[in-house]
Formats: sequence, C-alpha cells, structure tokens
Amino acid sequence: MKILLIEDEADLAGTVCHYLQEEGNVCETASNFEEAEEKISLYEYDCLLLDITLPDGSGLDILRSYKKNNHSGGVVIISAKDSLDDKIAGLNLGADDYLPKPFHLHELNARLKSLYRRLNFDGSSYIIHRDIKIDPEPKEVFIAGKSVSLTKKEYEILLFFLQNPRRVVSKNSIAEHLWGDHMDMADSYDFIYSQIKNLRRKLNSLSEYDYLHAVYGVGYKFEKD
Amino acid sequence: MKLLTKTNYYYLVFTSVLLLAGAVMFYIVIRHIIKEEVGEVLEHELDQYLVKAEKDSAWLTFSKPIEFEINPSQIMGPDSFRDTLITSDYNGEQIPYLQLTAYRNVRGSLYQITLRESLIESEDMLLGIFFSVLILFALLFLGLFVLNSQISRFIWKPFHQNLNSIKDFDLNQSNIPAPVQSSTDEFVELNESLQAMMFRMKKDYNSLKEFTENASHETQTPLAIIRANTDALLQSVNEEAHIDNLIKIEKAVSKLARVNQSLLLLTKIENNQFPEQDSVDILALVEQNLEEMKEYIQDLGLEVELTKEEPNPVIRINKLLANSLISNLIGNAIKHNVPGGIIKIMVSHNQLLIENTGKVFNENPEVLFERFRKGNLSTSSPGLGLSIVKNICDRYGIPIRYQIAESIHRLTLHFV
Repeated sequence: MKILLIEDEADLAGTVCHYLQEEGNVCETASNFEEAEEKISLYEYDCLLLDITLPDGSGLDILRSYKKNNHSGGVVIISAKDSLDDKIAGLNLGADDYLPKPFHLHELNARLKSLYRRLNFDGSSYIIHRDIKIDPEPKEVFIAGKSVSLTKKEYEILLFFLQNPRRVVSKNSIAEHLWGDHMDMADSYDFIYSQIKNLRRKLNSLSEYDYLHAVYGVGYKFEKD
Repeated sequence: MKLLTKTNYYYLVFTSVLLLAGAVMFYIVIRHIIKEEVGEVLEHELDQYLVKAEKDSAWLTFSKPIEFEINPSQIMGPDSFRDTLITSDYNGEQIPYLQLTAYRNVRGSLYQITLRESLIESEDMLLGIFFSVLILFALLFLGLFVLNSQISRFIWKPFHQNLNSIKDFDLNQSNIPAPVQSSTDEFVELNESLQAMMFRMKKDYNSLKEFTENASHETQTPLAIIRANTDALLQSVNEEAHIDNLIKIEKAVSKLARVNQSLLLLTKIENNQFPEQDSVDILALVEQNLEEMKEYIQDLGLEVELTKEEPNPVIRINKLLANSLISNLIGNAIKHNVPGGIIKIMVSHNQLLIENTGKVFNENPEVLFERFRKGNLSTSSPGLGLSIVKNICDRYGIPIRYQIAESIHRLTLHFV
C-alpha cells in the first residue's frame, strides 16, 4: 500500500511512517500544504493520511481538491482538532475515515487495512488468516472450516488482532479500539482480559495453531514470531 | 424594602415630627401674640377710663359685669395680668378671660381697677388657625408622597429596564445588553460601569474558554507523538522494568487524552458549536447504548431493568450531543456500580430515569455535576462525564436531578 502522510509535526510523521513501513507499506511524508499538493499531483497514492491543521493551509482544502481531481485513493483524516464538526466536514467532503489524535499505531494500521480492503474489493470479501476465515458481512467466523459463535466484542477484538497479527498490542489500545466514542470506558482492563480469555479458548479449541499470547505486562500478541 | 418605600418612610417620620413641633410652636406663638394684643386692648381701655374718670366723678361708680370693676383700695400694687375662668351666665360654660388688675389714684383716692376681656373669640381663632395649618401640612405631605412616587416611577424606569436586561444576561450565550439611556447622572455612571464590567467579564470568559480550547488542542499533537513512540517502543523492548515504564506512560497519555477530549467537548457545548438539531428518540438511543455495552455489563455481573412507557420520548436535540448524553449516563451507571449491582432505567414520554446501585455518598450529589468532581476518588475517571451531561441538559433546558438514597443513585431528566 502506498501512503502519503501529510503531517507538519516531524516527530510524529517519522514514527508513524516508520511503523507503516514495517507493516510493509510504502510511506512518504509531506510536512506542509504546498509539498502535499505537489506530491499528490506527481504521484498516485492508495491512501492519504491527512492532518487538518497545516502551517500553510487547511487539510480540508487538500481533501477538496483531491476529490475534485478524481483520485482513486482513500483518505483518512488524522486531526488534533478533535471537533465533531471537523469530522463531519471531513467525511462530507469524501474522507473515508477520521482518527483523532492521539491515536494508537495499531488503530491507525487497522483502519488503513480495512480501508484498503474496502477500496480493493475483488469479489472475495473474506478475511483469511491461516485457518481463520471471516465473512464480514454477516460477521461469521470459521476456524478450520467450522463455524464459531463470537460475541460482538470478541469479534471486534479478533478483527483488530488480525489487522495487527504480529504486533504487541496493549490493553489500552484494545480498549480504545473497542469503546471508541465511549472514552470513559477505556480503563476497562478486566473486561478486556475476560473477553480475550474467552476468545482464545474459542479459537484454540478448534485451531491447530496457537493464537493470542499474553505479553508480560503489556498486552497481547496474536501470533508468536 | 423598596427604595421608594424607604424614602417615603423617612419622609413620613420627618414630616410628622416637623408637623407636630411646628403646630405646637405655632400655637404657642399665636397664643402669645393674641394675649399681648388683648393685654394692650385692656391697657388702652384703662387709660381711656382714667381720662374719663378724671373729668367726671360719676365714672367712679361705673361698673360692667365681668368686664369692669372699680373698688376703693387701701393698698397700692403693681399692674398685673392674670388668666382666669369665669362661668358664663346663660349656658354655664367656663369662659377664659384675661384680667388686668391695676391700682390708681383717681381724684385723690386709691382705687383697685379690674378689667377683663374675653379670650373666647381669640381661642376659637387660634384653634381655626391651628387646624388650618394641620390640614395644610397633611396636604403638603400627601402631595409630596404622590408626586414622589410618580417621579420615582418615571425616573427609575430606565434603571428597572436595565436591571431586567442584566438579569437575563448569560455570559455564555447572549451579547452584552445595550442599556436604556437615562438623563440621570448616577444611572448614566452606573450603566457605564456595568457595561465596562460586563465587557471585561465577557472578554475574560472568552479568553478563558479560548485558553481551554487551545491548551487542549495543542496538547493533542505532543500526546500523539508520545503515544506513537510508546507503541513503537512496546514492539521492541524486552526488559520488564522498561515495559512497566512504558505502560505507565501509556496509561497517563490515555488519561490526559480523555481529559482533553472532555474539556474540548465541554468548551464546544458552551460555545454553542452544535447548532444542528434533530428529532431524537431517546429510548432508541438508550437501547442502542445498552446493546453496545451488553458484554461489558454481563462481564461485570450487572442486572439491567429497562421499563418503557409509550409513547417514546422524542426531543429536539443535536444527535451527537444526545448520544454523548445517553452514553455518559449509562456509562456512569455501569462504572460507578458495585459488583452484582442493578441498573434500573425507566423511559416515558417526558422522563428518563436512571438508577444504579453504588457507593454511599454523603455530600449533596449535585456537586458531582461540577468539573473534576468524583464521588469515588479511587477511580481513574477524571470526573467530567456528569459535567458534560449537565452542560448538555442546560443547553437544551432539560431539568436534571441527582438524588442518592442510601446507596441508590438516581438521575432524572425531564423532557418538556
């Protein structure tokens, strides 16, 4: 996936870009409005990661012209201006997703992957990982060909892990992923623990692989290296 | 007490004292003048008599009942005036007289001459004057009173109008009200000071809000950098001690981010940045939120009782804020519950009641609506959820009450 990260804060851009490259993407950065416009006009990207407040212009203007010129790539807004009206404005202008700062890298990764899947819909909508097969539309999960019934939250956690299969994912990022707007629920670690325990039991009882490993003190990793 | 009543009260006291003192003084003075006059008349009569008696000795035996007596005297004495009462012959009334007793040598013999003049007419006159003055004073006072009320009403009108517009002044919403002009210097001065004060208040308030917004906003990017780098580090660090440090950083960042988000939301509600309104079905929203939290509620072993009463409450409110309101209320009932506790939700067309088992709280529960106020100090929640709830309710004029009986917490919202 070829990504253009438009972000004026170099420290953030560097870390995010490095992470995305590790995930096997091509990531380029633009630190201001002008540079972003130039890169967009020269190259084609699969996705723009767009900050709204730039030193020399508004990210919303980039979005506007990007959509006007019929680029095919997706756009995810990453903004410190966590105002719901910005979110609405962005989504109305054709952005595909909105991620308020500060975000977890795994969350960003998950959003990018599901966006990529949506944009490159090639007939098979299944998400397949080793012997796990997910049909996202009715939200059905098959392990080694057998159907498993998961609760809504278990399903969401599984999906989140499948998007970050080899990453150490902290409980905090799982909680924030699960609760989204219910920001005050984000310290429900005991709940996360019991959901993951159930999920692991359901997966591993059918699978020949061993999924979901606790990483000391941090959280979980879906697959061992 | 009203200013007018107060001034009138003092007027009344002062005028009464003045009136009383004035009347008494008036009485004394007039009475004195009358006596003086009558005395002079008596002296004049005596002189005339003496002239006549020197000429004609027949006058020496002259007498007029009550008014004139002449008797030979052995002794000499000074002239003296005296008040005396004499019973009237025809109606037995006691009549006041002024009596002049004089000793004179007439044609070589010593006589005591007594002259009396009735004071009855003068007394009547005195009373007449006294009452006239009394009535005059009373009329004066009444006139002043009426005039004063009328003038006050007229003069104070701009003051009352301005007072009303100040009462309606809401720092958060309205503009500074334009004052009703007055020609009274004091009011003009008051208006100017009030305007200046309100302007300053508004400015301070705005800069405070701006500060909150900017501070929260500007913190998001550094937080994003910390979080991204913590995430990256967590992938590679293997040392337990370092992992502990990183997790602590991550938790702190998460908390800070949530405080920021809540403060931003509060500021935006106060700034009225959610002008769009939709018809929102509160019951649907409650059910949707309960569904979303279902697993969490189950995991905590909480029991939810939802009672519905037709028709559903549908209110005009911003969709996003409505969701924030309900999710905060339900989240609150979950978070501050006790293991195995109960959440009771009753929804009717004009009321939403959420009751949950919780901890005993001995203060007035309404203080929990304040920012950063927590009933349970040990929770990691920053204590902004209920402030957001209260702010949203205030914005849409929804009365909200928080009651705690024993360990049952109850929040009631009334929809009009």
